[in-house]
Amino acid sequence: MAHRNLYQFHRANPDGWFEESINWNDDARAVHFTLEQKDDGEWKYEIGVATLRRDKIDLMIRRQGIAERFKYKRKPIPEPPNRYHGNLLMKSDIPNQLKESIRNHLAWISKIHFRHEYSDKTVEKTIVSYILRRLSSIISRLLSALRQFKVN
Amino acid sequence: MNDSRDVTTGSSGEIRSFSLGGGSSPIRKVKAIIPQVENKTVVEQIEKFLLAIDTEIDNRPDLRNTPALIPHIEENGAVSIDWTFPDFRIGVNLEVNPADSGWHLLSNEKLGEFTASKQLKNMDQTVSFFIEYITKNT
Repeated sequence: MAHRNLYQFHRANPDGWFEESINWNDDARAVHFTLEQKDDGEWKYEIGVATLRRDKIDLMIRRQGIAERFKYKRKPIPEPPNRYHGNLLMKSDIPNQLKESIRNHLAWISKIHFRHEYSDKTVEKTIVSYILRRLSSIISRLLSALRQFKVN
Repeated sequence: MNDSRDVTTGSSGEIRSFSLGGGSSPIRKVKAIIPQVENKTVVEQIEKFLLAIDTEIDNRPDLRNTPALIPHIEENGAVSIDWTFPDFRIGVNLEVNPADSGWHLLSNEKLGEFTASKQLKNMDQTVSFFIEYITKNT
């Protein structure tokens, strides 16, 4: 179960918003890309990553009544290239108790992807995909051979 | 962490009056971290919270089998305590400035994605509300 410490909101930008970096889960590669991110040769997220559904964030915004105080945006960065990058934004003058409530809420709706679990799944998918490709190739050749047999 | 040790030392005198000495109490992990909490105001809030929970559990033996309350000491000296059930989570954050302390209750789709959070003003009343919610939804 995720803990609110996943979401610090420590760093305020000049416009008066706390920023929390995220990657948008735009395609099947996004989680893998995030897990592969490194800082000085070390995994940036050693244990794993969390995913948040946008509809759950939108519901949180409605339920907490924080439409003016919480938002998200896309912000791709060129170097190192990260087209998935974006931010969760929270007003920096938000009352502390509300800030903690939002952090707790984000933790509650987070789904954790542990690195080891993800790696195992990736390997499994790769093996299954390879087997299916081989089977497909064998069936094609068999069908082709049958057609040849009929013609002859 | 050794859950079975009896943590009754240090400045947490009131803790000694708790009847829960066994290793299966849901509050044992919170009791165990008290000696590590540096801020006295936070310790006082934890003790008040535990006393309120303990009082409720004393009256409701069935609650002894609920999941353990999980404490976490924050970098700023605050302590958060989460009580996570299959379909909902209750939590309190006990801050160095008690006016910033709060509680939250969040549920999943099964229980209507309920969301509530407030400043922690009246500990007994808040804990009673928690217990009522737990009783109805577990």
